[in-house]
Amino acid sequence: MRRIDRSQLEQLCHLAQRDGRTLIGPTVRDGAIALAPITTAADLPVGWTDVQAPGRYRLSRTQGQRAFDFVVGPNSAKEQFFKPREPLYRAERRADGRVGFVAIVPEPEKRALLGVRACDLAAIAVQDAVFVEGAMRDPRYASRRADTLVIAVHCTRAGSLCFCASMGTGPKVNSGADLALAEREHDLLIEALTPAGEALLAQLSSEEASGEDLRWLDESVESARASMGRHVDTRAVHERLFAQLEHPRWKEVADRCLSCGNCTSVCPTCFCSTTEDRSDLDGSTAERDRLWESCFSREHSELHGHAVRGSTEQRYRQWLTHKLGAWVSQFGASGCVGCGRCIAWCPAGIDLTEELAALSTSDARALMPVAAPCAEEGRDEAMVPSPARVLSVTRESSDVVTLALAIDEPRPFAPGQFYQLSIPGIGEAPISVSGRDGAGVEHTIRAVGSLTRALCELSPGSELGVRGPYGRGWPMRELAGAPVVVVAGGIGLAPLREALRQMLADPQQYPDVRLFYGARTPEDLLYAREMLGWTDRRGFQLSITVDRSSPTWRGNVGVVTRLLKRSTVPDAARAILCGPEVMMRFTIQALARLGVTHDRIWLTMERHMKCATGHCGRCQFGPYFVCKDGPVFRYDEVASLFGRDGI
Amino acid sequence: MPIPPTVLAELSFAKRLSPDACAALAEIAEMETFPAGAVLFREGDLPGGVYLVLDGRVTLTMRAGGGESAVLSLGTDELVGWSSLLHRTRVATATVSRAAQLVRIPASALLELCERDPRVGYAIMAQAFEDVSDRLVDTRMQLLDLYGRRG
Ligand SMILES: Cc1cc2nc3c(=O)[nH]c(=O)nc-3n(C[C@H](O)[C@H](O)[C@H](O)COP(=O)(O)OP(=O)(O)OC[C@H]3O[C@@H](n4cnc5c(N)ncnc54)[C@H](O)[C@@H]3O)c2cc1C
Ligand code: SF4
Ligand code: FES
Repeated sequence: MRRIDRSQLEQLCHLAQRDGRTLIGPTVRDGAIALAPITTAADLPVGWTDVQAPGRYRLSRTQGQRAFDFVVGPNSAKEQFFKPREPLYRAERRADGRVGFVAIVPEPEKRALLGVRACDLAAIAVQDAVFVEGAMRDPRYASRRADTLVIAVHCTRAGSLCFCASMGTGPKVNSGADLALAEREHDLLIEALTPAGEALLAQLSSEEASGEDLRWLDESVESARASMGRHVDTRAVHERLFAQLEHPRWKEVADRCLSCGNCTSVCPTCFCSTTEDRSDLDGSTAERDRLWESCFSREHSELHGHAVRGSTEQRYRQWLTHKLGAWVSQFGASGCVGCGRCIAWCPAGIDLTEELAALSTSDARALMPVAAPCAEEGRDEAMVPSPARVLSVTRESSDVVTLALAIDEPRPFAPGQFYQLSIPGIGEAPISVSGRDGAGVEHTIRAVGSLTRALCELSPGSELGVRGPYGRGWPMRELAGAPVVVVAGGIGLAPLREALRQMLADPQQYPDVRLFYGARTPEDLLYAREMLGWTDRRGFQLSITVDRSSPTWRGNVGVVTRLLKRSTVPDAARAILCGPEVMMRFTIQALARLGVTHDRIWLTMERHMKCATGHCGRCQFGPYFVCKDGPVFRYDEVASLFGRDGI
Repeated sequence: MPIPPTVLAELSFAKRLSPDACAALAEIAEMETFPAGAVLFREGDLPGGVYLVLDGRVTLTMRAGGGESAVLSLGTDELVGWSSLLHRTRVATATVSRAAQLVRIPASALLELCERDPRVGYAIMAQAFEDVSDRLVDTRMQLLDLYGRRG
């Protein structure tokens, strides 16, 4: 530990900018202390402090000359690495006339962060876990983050909303920085935590800190810790929160919450995002941007024309159970670092520590599912489509077509996985693989909205963008050797078709396959001709039913669960299901009556998706991301949450 | 053709009945085969027989908007024509859609059996109620028009 004179701050700012580093430090801007590019120590908020209370933040003058006499302002280091808005790629005509997709990834940038607090260092570590340490790395975040020099500040005074001590993240800086400062009126203590920090420190004029200096630091940090008025009980908070999904407090807090999303935008760890497609008027180029988004918006959870989380109650519950609960199983750390920003910047002054305490009246604990193994191994994922061409179009029904696509540089796929299909300027959507046709990958698409309608209108030779495959597919290995019951509803047969084809092609491994398929009307049945061809395969049974028909239809009429009720199922049978959630719920009950237990049922979940890489937060489902932990789940992994409102 | 009580005992409809009650039921029941296309009863007909499907398929249709619409098909072990147990006229038309072997029980004789021995009556009504309740749940699911929206 060394001691430097206050005048050395200028030198520190100067050294931090060497080798073309951009220095990002605290500075007064628009009535708040913001983290922004600065060049000299004079830009620091000398003589300013922040006064915070629930729903309130203001600056106030101090009599002193300290530069770090504040705690945290509305913006954290988050926006340095995860930009509020940034382009992902540009689609344009290539010289050969075909559509090309050009990734937009920033050059690696060198940055120095000055004045970051322990809580924000913990937040950076959390965002690193989301964007670069997971199964898929976001190259944009990674390139901004790659070369960052961090000069942190120990908090010797806690803010009135801080509770980092409860979250185990502060007030002392222990790691995540190259240098740590502690500021007094006339001088600062400084400690190097890494070789880079040591090299920088060596160039400052400093003295060895005295025993008294060290004692002062310990005592100040301890008194900061002791002065925190807010406390969170983090013991088993994940299990405790998920045991309170029906607590009346959610409704009470929702009556106060404006659903404005301020809390998520000031939160240093929130990472949800959406995308936007833009094209110029003549349509020759189109760009896709990524933007910060909030789980408090309606669009965030949209699925089939309604929001999965339609009410503020469900959205607040989602936010809190994710931030303090599910985050732990997803990223190994809480999503809350105790900085108090969401309390200060909530216009209604909602205090999450108070909400948490009110929700913690009982010690009940939910049995949380074990995290599903992720389907992906670490790799860079720039979310840029590859060009693809339509090889053939098969009309399946009035609103469903199957496209066979030739994809540039395809990666192998497994049945049950999905691709993100896009048309520049229109949009992108997750679509399952429905089969393989020679060199082509098949997708069966139902026209429901702007993009799917446009996809259904493509003709052979049309071009589009494709990225993938993504996600965990059907458990083909676990199904081998056992009788397999396949239950499909509507277009839910599409994600199952390739699995069926593979099973029928290998009767040795899959000797007994029974397909139960329900559709709306006989005209809506998919793959009718192909299914007829399957019926003479040994060991295959087909039962089809429709919801309604004309009297000329001689087949079954009624729901698919009625077909199941009429049958018996061999011992040890396994079941795979895909269809609307309600249908799957009743199917699971019917299967249970036939003796098929939850650990022998797999199903696909559907949630709104944007990135498919585990980075946008859109497809949250309890402790899972449907895009990378699913979409296929074994039912016992999701049973406690499946079919519940607003999850 | 008479039906052996052992065959009848296999059916869910008889699962709550004692062997004696099952034999009594067999006495009033009749086994019949029908070709595809045969109409068992029509919407609006007076109450008549109650049927149990041994094999084949029966489709219920209803008149709607000037046309005829298939609403439910029934197969092995299922009950057709329960409304006659309530002395109601037929609510749908029942047509054999795949050659079928059926058990036919005249509603009047069945109700007489129920009234003679209320324990048997309770068992029969409880079973019919179970079937009707399952069908109600299924009908609700059909009403949701699940696949219409996407699935
Ligand atoms: C893992 C997965 C696999 C899927 N597989 C298939 C498939 O094989 N075939 C098929 O036809 N459909 C599939 N879907 C559904 C398909 O993604 C949506 O129908 C599509 O996104 C709608 O886009 P749109 O622009 O045409 O409609 P929009 O105009 O955007 O909206 C139409 C409706 O679809 C919902 N929706 C919009 N975007 C998404 C999204 N990204 N994710 C989920 N729902 C959305 C909206 O809430 C709206 O109600 C799958 C969805 C998921 C999550
Ligand atoms: S908790 Fe506060 S900041 Fe967050 S959405 Fe509700 S009103 Fe807005
Ligand atoms: S996290 Fe983005 S779609 Fe799953």
